[in-house]
Amino acid sequence: MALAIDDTTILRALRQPSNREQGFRMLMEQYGEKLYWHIRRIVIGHEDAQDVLQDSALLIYRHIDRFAGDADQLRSWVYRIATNEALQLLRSHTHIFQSIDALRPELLDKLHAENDTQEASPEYLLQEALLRLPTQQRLVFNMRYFDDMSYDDIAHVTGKKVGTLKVNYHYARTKIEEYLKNHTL
Amino acid sequence: MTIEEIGKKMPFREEKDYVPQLLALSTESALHAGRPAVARRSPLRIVAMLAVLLTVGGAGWLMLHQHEDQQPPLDTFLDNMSDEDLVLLKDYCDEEMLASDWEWDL
Repeated sequence: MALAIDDTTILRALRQPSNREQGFRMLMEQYGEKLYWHIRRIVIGHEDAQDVLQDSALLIYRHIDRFAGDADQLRSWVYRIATNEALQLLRSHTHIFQSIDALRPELLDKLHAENDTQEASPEYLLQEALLRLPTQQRLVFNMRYFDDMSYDDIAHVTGKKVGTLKVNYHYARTKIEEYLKNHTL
Repeated sequence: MTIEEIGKKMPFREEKDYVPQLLALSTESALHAGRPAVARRSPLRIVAMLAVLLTVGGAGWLMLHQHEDQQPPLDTFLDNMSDEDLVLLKDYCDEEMLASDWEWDL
């Protein structure tokens, strides 16, 4: 079992040109899988998640010099890049002046196609309920519930105020609970 | 059923086999693409680039020199002029270029 590496060590390595590659490998080991699932929950399809993860990894490596924060902000910085890339991919599937929320039917189809559980399994229903939320609420819920991120970290990822995020999470949770109540036997 | 009872499981196939491969691939391709361009160039590529530069440079040099050779020399130009024209030219130059220290060799 690999030993957990703390973000301070990773950041120190990333900031030394001679250790940058090693630092990047440590970063991907630490956050790669979490990033994959974060992206997958946004774009739903595995193929799309794969593309976004590769683009995000490249952006992270190329722009590591621009990261001026401390180790506590490293995770939210990489999540910010991955989130933006995932949203960018969804945006590329929309028509001009169309919101990402308009992709709901396509994302629901994708969820259905890639579902590996029984029809109406609790985890499937939870994802179905999430896809019926506005994108902003879905993002906040995902980061808060699945990634256990603090509101401060989510604020760093999304650029929104903590108060707004709390409201988003509250609405998301209420709507999901209502959906589950109406769709579980 | 509450959200907490569902947990954090996703309804997708467990990507135990290919997520580690995908991560390794993403890591290595980012490292490869992010390295300085010179480091990625193979010696063969550098030799090929030098060969192209030498060919283009050599061709340019030849063209320039050919162009210079095609200029008629001043002596030939003067030799082809009649004596009357040369006298006219000398008078014109004497008038217009008084400050000139040009030596006419007629």
